Amino acid sequence: MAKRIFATMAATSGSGTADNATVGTSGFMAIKGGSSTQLIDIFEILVSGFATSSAPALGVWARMSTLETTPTTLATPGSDGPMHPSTAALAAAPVTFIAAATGPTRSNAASDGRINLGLNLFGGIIRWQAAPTQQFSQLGNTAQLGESGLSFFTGTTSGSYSAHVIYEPY
Amino acid sequence: MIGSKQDGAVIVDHSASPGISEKDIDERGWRGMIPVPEGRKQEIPTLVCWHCASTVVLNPFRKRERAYCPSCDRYICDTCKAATTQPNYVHRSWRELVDLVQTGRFTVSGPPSSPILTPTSASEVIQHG
Repeated sequence: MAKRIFATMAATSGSGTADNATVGTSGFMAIKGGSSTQLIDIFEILVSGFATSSAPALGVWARMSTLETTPTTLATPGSDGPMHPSTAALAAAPVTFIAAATGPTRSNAASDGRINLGLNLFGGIIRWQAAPTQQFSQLGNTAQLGESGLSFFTGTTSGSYSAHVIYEPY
Repeated sequence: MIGSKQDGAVIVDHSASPGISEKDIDERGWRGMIPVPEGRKQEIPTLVCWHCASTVVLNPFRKRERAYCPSCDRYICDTCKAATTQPNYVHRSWRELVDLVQTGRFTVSGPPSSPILTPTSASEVIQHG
């Protein structure tokens, strides 16, 4: 019940994947609800590119139509922590991860909203910020309302990036 | 509401980057992407759909009107607008959906524009079936 920041550092986008295919075993970042009733609001996403040459990248924040198997426990340089130092431990902590044995599948449903985060990873920065009451939300912990994440679409030129997501579980 | 200071925003900063040109987009087939070429910084408004809670990046070149729910008095996305024309459509805002699921009496699945509520006990089937 407090805002948290989920971040990944020096990740690699890869060359991207098509919708309705697994996003790979790494190079993405995703949030899954901690329980079947948990609501998660996402308020901000920032991606900054650190590629060493031009790297157009079609990043998307999208819902996942098939969940991953065995998400890898988040470890440095990835992080997920509260924004306020007095935040109590969560009873049902959301699952935040940047790798998995089999990655989640990005939904290809035309009925699913997604945030276009396309940028050039060679020095480009993109930030999406929600206005009050305009946050992107997910609900529960099953497909496809219960998990969403950042991944890259086919045609992306691979490059290094860092990103953070500000979210709040309820 | 649409185009007001109440919107969210996507800010693309290619002021120190080669950026993404229309040619890059055409070559890659990235339909719907908004070009922000080298040296440019652009702020594009976003709205959230009141029915499915998805964020929509507003294409500044769009001329068609955007959808609106008079019951919610809020913006809704095109997909949710289309869902309202289906014969078995039940109006339910995202907030109402969250309230139902958080009672613990239902689980939710399916696409956000047409969510499927599954009762967690047989008694709910009788009440909502």
